[in-house]
Amino acid sequence: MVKMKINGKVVKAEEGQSVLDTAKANGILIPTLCSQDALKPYGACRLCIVEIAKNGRTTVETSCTYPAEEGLEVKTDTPRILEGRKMVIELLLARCPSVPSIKKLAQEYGIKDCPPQIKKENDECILCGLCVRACNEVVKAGAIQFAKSGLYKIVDSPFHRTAEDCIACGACVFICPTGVIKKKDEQQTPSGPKRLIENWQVEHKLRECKKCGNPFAPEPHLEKVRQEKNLPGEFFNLCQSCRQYPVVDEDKCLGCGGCMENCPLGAMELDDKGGYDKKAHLYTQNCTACHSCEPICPVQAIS
Amino acid sequence: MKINKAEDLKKIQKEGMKLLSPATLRITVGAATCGFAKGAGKIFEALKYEVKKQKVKADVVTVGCSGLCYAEPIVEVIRSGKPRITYGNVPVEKVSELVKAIKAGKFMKDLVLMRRDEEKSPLEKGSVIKYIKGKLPEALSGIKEYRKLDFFKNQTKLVSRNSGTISPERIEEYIALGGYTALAKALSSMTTEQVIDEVSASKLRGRGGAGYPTGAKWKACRIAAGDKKYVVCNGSEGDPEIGMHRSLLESDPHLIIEGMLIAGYAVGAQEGYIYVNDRYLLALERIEQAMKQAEKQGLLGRNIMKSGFSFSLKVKRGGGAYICGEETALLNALEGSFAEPRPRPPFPATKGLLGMPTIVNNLETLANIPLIVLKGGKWFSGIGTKLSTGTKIVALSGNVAHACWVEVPLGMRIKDIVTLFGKGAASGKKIKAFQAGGPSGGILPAKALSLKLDYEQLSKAESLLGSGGLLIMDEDTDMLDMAKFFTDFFADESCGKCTSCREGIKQLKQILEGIIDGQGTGEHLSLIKRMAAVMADTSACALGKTAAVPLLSVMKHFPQEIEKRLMRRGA
Repeated sequence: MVKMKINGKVVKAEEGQSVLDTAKANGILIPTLCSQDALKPYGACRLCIVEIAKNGRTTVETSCTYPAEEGLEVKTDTPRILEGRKMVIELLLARCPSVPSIKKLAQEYGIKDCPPQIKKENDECILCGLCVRACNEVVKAGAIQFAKSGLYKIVDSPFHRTAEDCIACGACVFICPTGVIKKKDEQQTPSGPKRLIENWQVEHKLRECKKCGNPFAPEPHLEKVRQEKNLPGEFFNLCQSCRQYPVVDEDKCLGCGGCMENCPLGAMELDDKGGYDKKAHLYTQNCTACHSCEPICPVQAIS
Repeated sequence: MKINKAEDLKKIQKEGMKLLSPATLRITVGAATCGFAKGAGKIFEALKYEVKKQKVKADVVTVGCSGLCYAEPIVEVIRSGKPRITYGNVPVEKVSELVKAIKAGKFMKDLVLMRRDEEKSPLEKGSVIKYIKGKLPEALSGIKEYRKLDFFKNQTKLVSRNSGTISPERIEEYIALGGYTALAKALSSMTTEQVIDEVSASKLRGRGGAGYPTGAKWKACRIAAGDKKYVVCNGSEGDPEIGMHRSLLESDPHLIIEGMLIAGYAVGAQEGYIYVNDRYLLALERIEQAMKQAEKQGLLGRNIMKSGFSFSLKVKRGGGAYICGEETALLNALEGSFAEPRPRPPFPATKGLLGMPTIVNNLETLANIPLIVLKGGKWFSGIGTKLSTGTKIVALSGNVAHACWVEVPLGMRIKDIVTLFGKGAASGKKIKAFQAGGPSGGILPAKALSLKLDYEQLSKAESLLGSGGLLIMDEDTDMLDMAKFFTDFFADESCGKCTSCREGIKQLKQILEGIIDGQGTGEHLSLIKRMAAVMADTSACALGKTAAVPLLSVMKHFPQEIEKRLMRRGA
């Protein structure tokens, strides 16, 4: 634990915790567009700037990347900070004048429009890198990256062609603060239901539930998770809502082991309950909810 | 032969000396990139051909750049007992005549630049090459001795001491002039702390731009915990108008290797990387060759000089991006990812390459190390000024009569550098402005020529010492054009990560283009100032912080040039 000051208030923080998170935990809100709890801090949008005084020197730093330290003095709303933040918002507004989240932010800071000398564009991406980082750090698909540099920087699929490693999981769509990445699930196509992510020129089949027939997730996504977790082949045949795992009524169970012998995936096992008492137990990570154990049970303990 | 102790070095020293001042003839061709650009390749081939044809017994070798880039191609003749004669601007047609003259023991009056009677090394016990034995022949007394020329008289050649003299392809010649003795000294008689103490005492500061004390950087890395540590040499050189790293690598590659070895020993690193601009093909070839030679001699690799210290070195080719001057962006590039700066802290000294403690030093900084170890930090701190010690290699370019690179003690007046070495503007007109330290240094007016070349004075003038480039502009130069050139440069070189830098430069560029087209108003100027202040405050690295400096400096020093381009109301 370290002690530091934010806007004059003494606060405690875990060592290594960011200044941004420390402020948030203490009810002090700092705006940000590029930080997310599940991702490593990046420091691209520059909205979360604060003044940090350390060893008698005051500098402007991004609070998302700056680790909490003993004796830091942080100020989150000095005129210098507010001016910087305003300019950044004006620049973002010039880049993306029609994005609702940017417009809302501008409103909060009392910005009606950017100065007339600034040239407006009509982009929708603010290059915060959330999608890139989610794809690389969390999903670990590595399907999209930044391309080009400087003023021409964009987020793109490799060589501006189909992102071959994309599993169409949609994490990038979910995390995008401006809504520029769009996915489309099409139910009726000649080759069955499909998910399209136009930004990465990706099109993947959606798997249909073996039971209800509803398409529920893209094939490569299910396959990737299945392989990573080392799950059996038919594991993802049912959609989430149809997946009703068998339940063992231990009061009725005789411990005969019939279900165990008949389970195609070895999901059912016998647990020792002490003495000669054994009861059937289901390990759901291997179960595909095929219910082949149900008719086997001589005492109808599985339902 | 493996070199195991100081005596072994002495043996090779003798061999090298025989090559440097031979019993017969040595003809050298200045063959760095500047030389090749002016035809040194042809001269070298022609010399070899003529020597064979005219049956002259001579060792024809390529050497690096002596700094006289404007006089390339340079041919030098070293004959036993006679002064070393330098010929400049040698046309390939005259090679045959030159060899004839050499054979006859004469010299060619119209091509001769200077003579050298002896070569003094800055090393105390290092070797002095005495070219001349006995009296100077009467015929040669008309040629100026090089130490009497402005160009050499005013230089303090420490880092570039061997450039243009030794062949970069022969390790013996580097060792002959005291090479690797600093490494031998450090490994045999100094602790790592002692090495760092000497570097701290020298007050050497980073030659890349920021001027951070090298000793402090090393100490932080030395005490940082890590299973592995790295030394990274930044030879990326992304500034548009300089080439001193290239010249050093092409002229004296072993100096860099020795500097890195000592750095590795001092901080406890076992691996090093040299990051070199991919366009420097010759430099890459020579440093790789030098590494192989050093390895063969047991000066690189496992158990160096039987001291137990091991160090391996790798060359990594980079694209020469300006952003790679920023050490954390360089580390990202080394790791194979996007060259964007990393958040700091943590600093590379505690968490750098692959998460391990790393020192990233500029190539010129590392080139200073062997001399500091040999002669002591105190000696080094006596050169230059109190706070800016040592020397700096300066590359003069732009509208300058003699484009060249020179090594001067820090604290020398910039005006002297421009007049003594550069001989004023190439056009013969008045100098209007100049740029120091690359694009981030902005543009300074001619009256700032009276500043001294050091870290303090230049940063007080809102410029910087930076990489040591001096770009000269004469009175015909349009300052707005220059501002546009450098703003465009930043637009190309920004990594695009920070909103303030990326979008800020985009708007600055657009506003500036408007002003050049006559669309600018006073509001545009105040917006530029406001934007520049925010960019300096909120960008992550020095590139974004200084991207507005060229434009701001033109607004500050040449306001009349902008005002006359502004839109007149009602016009």
